[in-house]
Amino acid sequence: MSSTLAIIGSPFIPGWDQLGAFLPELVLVAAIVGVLITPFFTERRNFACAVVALVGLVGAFVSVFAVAGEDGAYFRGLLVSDSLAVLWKGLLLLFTAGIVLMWIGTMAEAMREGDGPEFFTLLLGATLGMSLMASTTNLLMIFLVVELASLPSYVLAGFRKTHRLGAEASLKYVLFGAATSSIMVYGLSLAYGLYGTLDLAKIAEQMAVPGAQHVLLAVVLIGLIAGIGFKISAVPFHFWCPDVFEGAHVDVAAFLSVASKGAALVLLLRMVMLIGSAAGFEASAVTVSLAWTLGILGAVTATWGNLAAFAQTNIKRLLAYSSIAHAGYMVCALSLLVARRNEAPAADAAQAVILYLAVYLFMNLGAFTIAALVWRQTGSEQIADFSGLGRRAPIAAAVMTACLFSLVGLPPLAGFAAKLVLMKVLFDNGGWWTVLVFVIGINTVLSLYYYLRIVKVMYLQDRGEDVLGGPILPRVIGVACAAMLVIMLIGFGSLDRLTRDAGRIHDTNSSVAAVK
Amino acid sequence: MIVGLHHYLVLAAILLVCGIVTMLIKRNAIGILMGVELILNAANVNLVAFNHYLPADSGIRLDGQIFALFVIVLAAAEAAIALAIILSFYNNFASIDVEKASNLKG
Repeated sequence: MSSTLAIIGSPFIPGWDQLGAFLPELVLVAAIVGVLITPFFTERRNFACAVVALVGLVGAFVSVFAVAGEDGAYFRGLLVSDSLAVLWKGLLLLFTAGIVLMWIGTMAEAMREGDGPEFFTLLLGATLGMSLMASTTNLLMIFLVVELASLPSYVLAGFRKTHRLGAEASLKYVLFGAATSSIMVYGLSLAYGLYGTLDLAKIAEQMAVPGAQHVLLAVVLIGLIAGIGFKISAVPFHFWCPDVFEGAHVDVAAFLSVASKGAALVLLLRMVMLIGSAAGFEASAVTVSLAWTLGILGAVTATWGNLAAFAQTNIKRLLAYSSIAHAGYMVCALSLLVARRNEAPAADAAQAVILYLAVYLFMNLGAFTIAALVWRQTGSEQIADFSGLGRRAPIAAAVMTACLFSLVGLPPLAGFAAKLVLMKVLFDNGGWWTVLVFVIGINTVLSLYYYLRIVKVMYLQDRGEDVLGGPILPRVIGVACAAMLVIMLIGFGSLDRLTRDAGRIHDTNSSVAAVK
Repeated sequence: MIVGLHHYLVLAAILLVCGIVTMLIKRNAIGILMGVELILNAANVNLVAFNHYLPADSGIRLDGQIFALFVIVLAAAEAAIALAIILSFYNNFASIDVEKASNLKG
């Protein structure tokens, strides 16, 4: 194995030669240590920690390219590395670097001097968990990484310590999270008992044997859907999402909106894909019920998120419901991963989800950055206070408009192509998946109303307030995001070729690559 | 009476139901946390019992026990974080009644 760490030599640590495939995570761990020791050397602790975290994230992002192609199972199958994992890690690290930049540009002054080290330790810790969520198929590791992603998120949600709403949001988040994850562990313990192994690939293989389905398998699947549905914020496990987004700072809300949901979606994608491929993508009791569950879950989540967004007056709460709706669209596509005759539609659906996540990342980062800028300058998160933004801050208003149009899925932006691909993949399969296409279509029309309402407030209402000043950095991030949305639409074809392998995940059973 | 796998599974199921009922009826945040701990322990009983009774394919079977150890460790970490957040909630609301957490809605 061409390990990146091989040049350093090999001390007597079991599995040392396999660590190379997880270089991005190692860089993240090093960055966490760096953030913790930085305060000893400088007076401007918050800013210094942000720079160290940013350097670590960029370093980890670069090292993702070094590990691309080292496909296979590592550490006796506890972790796997394949193109899906690599793609998600790249997206996640890029996004988190964007969050740190956004923090420097907008939120830095609001944070008490000395809180920075804790904040960035938690942020990087959550990122570490979310990046590992994409590369595991072992029940024990699934539990560990979900908790590794969740525990820092609970604290981040309550980081405004003296703020009533922050305290309430984090309390709801932690109690709800603890409840769903405990039910998930109970489900996992039953899965272990039913199949005698913790390896999901082996479990999926046994699950596919006709007549081997035990009634307790329903409890296992309910537990898994509760645990992962909570992270995705699928209805009915979505209650925490709007509250946490409103109670937490904008940067934390933006981080959770993409990173937490995306990681859970990728984990769910990998699990469903393993179950589907072990069953040979044939219709069996497990795959059909799983496909129906995911399809209904996705349709209900998308519709609920859009309907609830109508009445919102707080921009973060509106974006929270919007993120619930978008998660719903992606869950719809996951229902394709099981119960079809061959691998091709499943691989297409997986690719559509990854492309959607890539586009979703930029539109959400742009929208939240402008929300953070408005919050920094006016201290308000109300949509009404965006009035006259077209005159007060033309660049910011234009960026916000571009991101919102992309969230709707309107043509000159990448959100359009991503949604179109998602719907096309669903439509090509026919059957009851056509209904999902209609659900997504109707939801798009519904969402047009509340996204355009913000645009209307920005351009058609004006209360004659002063020009919105503020630093240049958030505007640069916003323009970069908006530019990416246009570039991604133009280059969607090459993006499509780049992610072609995303759907062909590493399977420890059928893969040519031997378990290392 | 010979204690078999079924006895452990029934015990775990009873613990699970107790935990879910506790989570649903308690209005005290620490009470809800206790319900969570009950469910985690139900999972632990399951894991250790399965580990003992399932046939080992090759060598010794240990994965269930290791899993249980990790669940215990993470339950402690989760409790530490939840208690810290409950304390922060208490500082703001002078109560740990979850009914008081009703400022955010809609």
